Amino acid sequence: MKMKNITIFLYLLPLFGFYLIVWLYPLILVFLQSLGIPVLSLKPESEVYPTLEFYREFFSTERYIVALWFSFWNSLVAVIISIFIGYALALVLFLYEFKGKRIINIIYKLPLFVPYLVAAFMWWILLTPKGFVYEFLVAIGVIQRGTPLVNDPNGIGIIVANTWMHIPYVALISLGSLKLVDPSIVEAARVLGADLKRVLRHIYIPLTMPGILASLQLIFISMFGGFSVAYILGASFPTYMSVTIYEDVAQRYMWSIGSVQAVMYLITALIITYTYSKITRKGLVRL
Amino acid sequence: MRKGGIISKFGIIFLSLVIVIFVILPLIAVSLWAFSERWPGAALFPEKFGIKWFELLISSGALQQPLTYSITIGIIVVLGSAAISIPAAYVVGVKKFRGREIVESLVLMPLIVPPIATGVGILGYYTQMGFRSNMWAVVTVHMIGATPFMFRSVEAAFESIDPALEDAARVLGASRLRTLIHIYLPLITPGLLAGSVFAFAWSLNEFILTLLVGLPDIITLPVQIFRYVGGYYIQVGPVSALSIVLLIPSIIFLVLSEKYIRAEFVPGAGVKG
Repeated sequence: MKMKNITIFLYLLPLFGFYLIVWLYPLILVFLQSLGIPVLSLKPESEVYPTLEFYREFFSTERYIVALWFSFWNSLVAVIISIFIGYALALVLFLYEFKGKRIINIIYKLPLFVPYLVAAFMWWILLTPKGFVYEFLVAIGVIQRGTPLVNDPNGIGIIVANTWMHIPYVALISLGSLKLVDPSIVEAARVLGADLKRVLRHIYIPLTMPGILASLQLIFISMFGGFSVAYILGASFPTYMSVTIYEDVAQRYMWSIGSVQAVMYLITALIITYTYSKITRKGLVRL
Repeated sequence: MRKGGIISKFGIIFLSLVIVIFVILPLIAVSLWAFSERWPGAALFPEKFGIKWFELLISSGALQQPLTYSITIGIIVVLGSAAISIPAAYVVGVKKFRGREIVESLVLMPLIVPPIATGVGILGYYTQMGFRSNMWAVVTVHMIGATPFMFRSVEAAFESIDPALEDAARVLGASRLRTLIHIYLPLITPGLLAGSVFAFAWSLNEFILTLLVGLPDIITLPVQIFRYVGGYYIQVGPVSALSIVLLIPSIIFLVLSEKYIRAEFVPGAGVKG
């Protein structure tokens, strides 16, 4: 039964009305505030507005540029490590039958529902000096005593916690797409004498990787824009942009420069998402 | 074809073991801390176990109020996101109108934009309206992230229903509302339940926006944890105990979702079946 356009609109209205009021409108305010227009701050923060003064400040301040870059590369490293471990795990679970597989099948999903804040805290306990992992790494000589693993300038703690949080996502998505590979292709290759190594290289990986990579963009974005892990495990400098925004706005009430950072953060997130879906040649929509 | 391969049996066992240890180690460490009564600096493990930290949390009132807020807000968020998602999911999932794909990707937008970016706007906007430190303000910010999951789960459920069912009901004289309640509602229940689990989990774990709009009065469990760890000195004992309180529902959700979880429902995954 065909529906009139107006009826469709009415059905969509509650959802879109909600996002318009609670999500889009605040974002528009952030954009206006980034031009110095006092919509969020109580009084104007510049003599004349609208102005690009705060954008100039953004691009000329090391703290902000470094924060944006740091958020980017640090999340990227974590995503890459998560993909390797998660895909390897999925392959093992998909290809092999072994004792204890059922238990592993449940255990690896544990981080799925663990709050970021709790995950960050748990890794803080482990990676801080006297923590199990820290002491273990010192004992086997991987690091020297005194090398910080949390609140360090390289964000090692952030990478570890983010990786831990996201391995199950990667593994779940990978398992899902591995199962979609047509078994008859694999059968054909095997009949023609291909060993598992070749089947992996020429069938499984090329057929599943594009889809997996495409669906991982939201994982990158959630790390890139995340706050808790970066705040708890990060150093005071360099740090994620989410943290500098929080400090500027919630603690120092610097609304305009905070808004500029928010706008730049948002634009970067959108550009990354767009470029990423171009590269993987599959948009969010068509998945 | 599943036999034999590039790594030996030993290799597989070793690899699985490493992954298992990596995954559960944080949970072991936090449990040791939460249930430790006495843990001297030099000792590898606590000398005495007990529930000292939990008692401390309860006697100081640091647990009860946040727990109540977290659960109450979570339930309202589930109901609210379901209420706005079901009508939209119905038209997107069942009616093949033009632009439905745009609607689908628009709903994902809130997951792409860093929450802190929206948070700056919401903080200023709610402050000016006097809508801070209010439970309903926290509910609205939780719904921002919870609704996409609810929408996707319910929409997937609607999509799997044969549209002929509705036509049949309508031809036989049922109103649109009756069709929705008697035909669709029973059929979308699994999707609705899966969506509820994710929406509730999101609400329970949401932190940064709650911190911005909820303080000083509305303190949920994550915000309470933050109050202990956000400063210069981390109080490991109480935070561990609070973490355990938050981890219990996480494990329950995991078990629940084992039944319902499919790649298309996974948060953060843009996969659709």
